[in-house]
Amino acid sequence: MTLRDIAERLGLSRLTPELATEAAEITEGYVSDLLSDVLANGPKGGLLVTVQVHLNVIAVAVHAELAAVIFAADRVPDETVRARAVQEGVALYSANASAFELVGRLWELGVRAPE
Amino acid sequence: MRTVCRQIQGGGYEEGGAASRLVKEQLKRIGADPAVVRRAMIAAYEAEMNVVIHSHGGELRAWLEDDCLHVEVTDTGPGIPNIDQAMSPGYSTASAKARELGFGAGMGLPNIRKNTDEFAIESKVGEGTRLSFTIGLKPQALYGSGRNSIRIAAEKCRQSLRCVHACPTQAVRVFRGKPDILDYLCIDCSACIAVCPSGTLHVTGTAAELKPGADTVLVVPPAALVQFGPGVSAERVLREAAALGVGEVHVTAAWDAALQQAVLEYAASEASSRPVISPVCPAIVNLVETRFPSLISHLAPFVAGFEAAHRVLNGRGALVFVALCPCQRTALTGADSAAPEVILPAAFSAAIFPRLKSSAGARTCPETAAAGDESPLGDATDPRVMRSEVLRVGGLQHVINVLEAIENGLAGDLSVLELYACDQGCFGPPLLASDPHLALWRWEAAPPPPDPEARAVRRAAAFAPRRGLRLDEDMRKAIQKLARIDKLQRSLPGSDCGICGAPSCAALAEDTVLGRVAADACPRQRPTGEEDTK
Repeated sequence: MTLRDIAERLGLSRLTPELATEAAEITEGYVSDLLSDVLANGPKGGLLVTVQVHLNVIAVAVHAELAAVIFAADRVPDETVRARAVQEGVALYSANASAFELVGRLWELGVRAPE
Repeated sequence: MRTVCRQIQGGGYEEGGAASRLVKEQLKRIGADPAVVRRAMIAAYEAEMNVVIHSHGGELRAWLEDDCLHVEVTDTGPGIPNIDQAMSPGYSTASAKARELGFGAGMGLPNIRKNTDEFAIESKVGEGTRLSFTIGLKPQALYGSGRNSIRIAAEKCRQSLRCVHACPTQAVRVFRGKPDILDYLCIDCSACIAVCPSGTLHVTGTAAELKPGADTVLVVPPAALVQFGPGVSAERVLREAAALGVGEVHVTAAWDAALQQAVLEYAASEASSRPVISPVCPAIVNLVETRFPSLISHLAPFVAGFEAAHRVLNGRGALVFVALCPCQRTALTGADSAAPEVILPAAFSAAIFPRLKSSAGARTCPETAAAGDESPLGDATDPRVMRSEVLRVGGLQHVINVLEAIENGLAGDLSVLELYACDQGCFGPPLLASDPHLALWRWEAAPPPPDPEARAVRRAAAFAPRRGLRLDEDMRKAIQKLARIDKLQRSLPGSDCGICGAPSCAALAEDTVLGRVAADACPRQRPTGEEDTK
């Protein structure tokens, strides 16, 4: 399942249209608001679902080599954070749904926990 | 060697991660395995954030020694009262602000321990904390270096040094008055040939002249057919070429068109990474494999038009190709055992010119030829039809800009790219006499009918990253060399003047350490440099 398909099926708003990463194939994901937890367990090339919207999320996403971050529960980062994500090549999306609902629907689409 | 030393502000959340990023750059430079780099970054970032979250401020120092990365992070207090407690997962003393930002889960120190080979922490309340860790490094898998067709006639060199600055991958050196090309960096474009005023850097054919025979199958690129001025159409040149007594003549234009069609279909498929880069120019494929390995998945898995012609026509007779540039020659005479004869455009022109004079009556005005516009050329070769789908970019500086934009994710609106090392694509190599714009205009005004046999050919072997910059295959030695390079570089003026024959001070420092040049090659080195280089 590509990022594009996931965004479409889940009705996500695309926050970083500058990035051409929509064709990336996503097989794994992780959900956490604790950044150390994301660093330790975030899947390389995978997705993160979180409600944290500050700059350090991008730094963590880069170090954990995540492909994309989905902000749950209508959270949207400010422009500084968004611009950094574009610079670093981390795709950002935002969703109305709660983290719990997002993860359930991602599982239905075949996205799994990292091995 | 110390490679990174950076201050960390207590409470400086916005700057968090800056020090670890510097460490990452050094690890990439020595070619460490990506998995090891990831572990090192997780540990360094956690340690850095600990200083931001818990302390009054501190410092991250990292150095490479033998085949290990050592990192030491110190702060100036307040210190940890009970280290055992701090090491147990889930225990944290982080502030409300830190917790709000998603830190302070009590996982930082356990995370560092998990990702490192050696780990130590000591702390004194009121004085500060010192954390250190070590990670053993191993090198990334290596790949072979490139081949090229650029030849050097060293005795002709007048040391203009233009080539040194013109090379897009810093592959050219002129030490001791003799030009040299570093094969592992050379992408086989013709940038150095184009600027060489003395003909020192050049390319040769496998044959000096065209010797037509009844079984000769001649394959000609469009650009070679429009080098004869305004009064001689491509179609006329083709007729004259056939009249030389060759068995068959093929033009590669339709093969390029077939490739474009195939790449457009590939780009529309799910499997492609967009934007898709069409492999029209072998030098650009080399550039991607050498300088932009992260974009390899964007290359469409086909061979260039002229290579497809070679594959399909192979075995038909005595194949003779007119190659426009070094990289075409390399692709044609490569590993393939059945390499064709390759001649250069000048040899083709030399064969055609006498015929143009002797049969002056056969002159064709371009106007007349243009009337045949409804020639069954097909829509695919008309660049206007695909304008919105295919972006053509010619000239290395522009190509590098575009590749950087893709790498930074700033080219999401592009679909298919045709990138050429030369201005105006294959009408622009320096081996051609005619101005590329004039030649392309004349070709488009009256192209001959397309080759009915043309089709696209898939690549058998996958694209792979090239070795590129690698100091030593032994990680331990690579680190030692990096240390010496850094030291030496600091003693050089940093102006990248190129007088020494290397393209930059950094390149000279590397060349010196790798033994390509004597230690005193820089005419402007500061006197203190002697000590630094020891």
